[in-house]
Amino acid sequence: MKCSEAKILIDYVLDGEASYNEEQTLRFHLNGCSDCRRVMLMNKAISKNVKELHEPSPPEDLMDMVKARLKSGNYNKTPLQQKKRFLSSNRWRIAAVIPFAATLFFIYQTIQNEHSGSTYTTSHIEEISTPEIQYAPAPVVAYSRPSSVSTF
Amino acid sequence: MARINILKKSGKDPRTDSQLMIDLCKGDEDAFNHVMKRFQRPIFSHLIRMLGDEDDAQEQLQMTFCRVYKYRNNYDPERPLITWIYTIASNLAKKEWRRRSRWTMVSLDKVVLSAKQKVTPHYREGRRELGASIEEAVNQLPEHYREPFLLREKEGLSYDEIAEVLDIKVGTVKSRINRARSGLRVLLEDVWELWK
Repeated sequence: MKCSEAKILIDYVLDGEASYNEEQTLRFHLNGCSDCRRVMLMNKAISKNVKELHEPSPPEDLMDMVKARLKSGNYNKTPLQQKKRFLSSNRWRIAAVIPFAATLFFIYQTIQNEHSGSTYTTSHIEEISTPEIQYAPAPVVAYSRPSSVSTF
Repeated sequence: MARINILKKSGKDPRTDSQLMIDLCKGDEDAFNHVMKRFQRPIFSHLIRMLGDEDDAQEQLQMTFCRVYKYRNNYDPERPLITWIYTIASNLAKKEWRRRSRWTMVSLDKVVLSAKQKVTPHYREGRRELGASIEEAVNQLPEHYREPFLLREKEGLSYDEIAEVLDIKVGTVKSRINRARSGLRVLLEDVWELWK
């Protein structure tokens, strides 16, 4: 058995999930491997100490708080979470950007109007006449392909 | 009968977890109090170790029991109640991690502490006991290794139960616990030499 396999088996044995055969195989390996014995000892010590870690006490008024929250119907998000979520979302940014953009657009329009002196109406548009462009016909050579006709 | 009397005197309800939930579904509000009394300590302990912040853990604990109440009809009495409640708490903790990853807030105390840890780890100085060093080392593990490891070691759940709580395969549970342990061994290498 390789040490890497033994280290996995050590976990199973400590967790009580190893079969009798696996335990025996591991025991045989541990007899001749000081590295894996050390791993076993360390894992045992870690398990023992983790089990004895301090358990913090829950708040005494937990029941009242839970019942108050159930009564108010607000049990999906806490007030703190709602605040954090709003700040982290883009909604408030969008909400701030839209009026800002509208103000900028309004200022731009006002400045444009001041420069032109008057506002445009449909009569102005009618007055503006577009110059007629005279298109000259393309020479026949440009689109005829005598070579392709001859090859065909 | 004598056992029931002792239980009544100690304030512990003789009903099983499943029976409590069945009674709660029937409208017995007192059963909910007993469910909270029974599970608040292990769930709070788990949440505080997963989130590392007492205020957040308290909030998530409240939310966990609110959800237990809200979704009481979804509980399957043939499954252990503890795994069902751990599943709810674990999902809430994951939601909190996701929120934190988007919105990271680090208190100044923690920044100073982590800076100190990098320069002079407590366990290297050999001043602290192994228990305190283990607590620190466990907190340094990534969440996806820490959670199955704590559910196994602290709460004593089996591999199958952990797989059910975390909604992952049993093989994944085994490998994550194995990696958590090897990570802890690396972190505790120095203190182990002193402690031995």
